[in-house]
Amino acid sequence: MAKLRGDLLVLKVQHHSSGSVNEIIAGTTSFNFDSSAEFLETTDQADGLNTAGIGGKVTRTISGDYFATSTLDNFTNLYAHQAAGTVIEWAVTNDGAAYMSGEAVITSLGLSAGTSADLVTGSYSLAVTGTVTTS
Amino acid sequence: MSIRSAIYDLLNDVEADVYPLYAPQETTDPYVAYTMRTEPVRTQEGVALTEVSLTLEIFANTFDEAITLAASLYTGLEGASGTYDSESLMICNWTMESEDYIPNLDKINITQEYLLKFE
Repeated sequence: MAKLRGDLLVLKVQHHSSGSVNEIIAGTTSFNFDSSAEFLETTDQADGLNTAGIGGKVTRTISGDYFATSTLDNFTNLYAHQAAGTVIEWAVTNDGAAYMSGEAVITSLGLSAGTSADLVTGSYSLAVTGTVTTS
Repeated sequence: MSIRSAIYDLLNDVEADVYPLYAPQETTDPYVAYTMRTEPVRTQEGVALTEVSLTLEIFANTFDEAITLAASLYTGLEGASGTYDSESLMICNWTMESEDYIPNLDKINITQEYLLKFE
């Protein structure tokens, strides 16, 4: 089975002050998409040793890391959206083709600096809201 | 226009007697031979920068000569930045120095290591 190269799965966020749609967060080194669902257990005596249940609320989060650009514009734009409580759009593409998209709120944002031997890095977390569309 | 030649330009600005890999046999002491290891730092958009681990081998007939040249190289390289052979050097950081005596050559050897980041 063919494998997928890491750089082909890309997260884009509508974060730019110009309003550019689904712009890539500059300098992204990694991102994670996590989806979890509540499990509502309905096991009764008739189920014996088996578990019974139904699916509940699905919670999805996205987190990522990036290198800060020399003008810090990638941090600045994310910071502005978080401060304003903006619902942003996000999309994941597979080799340039739409794969998954939705809306989210920026729940955490970080900026880290060190010595001259280090690069300035940043991280973010998104809480996904509403429906996620997959293609 | 390559990081390899940028490194040579950077070193040659500090010390005339610098040679990649090995020094010619007729070279006058003190002198420097250097090796490098180049590694990319990637983002999803490709190579963001190139890190170069640079090792300098300083050879001299006396300890004083070796120390003087080592100090001169440190002064010229630590914190260096700028454009060399059209390559943009973000920073050069000194990371290590050690010293040794080589009985076969009757020479003093000081080894310095630097980490360089090219955009």
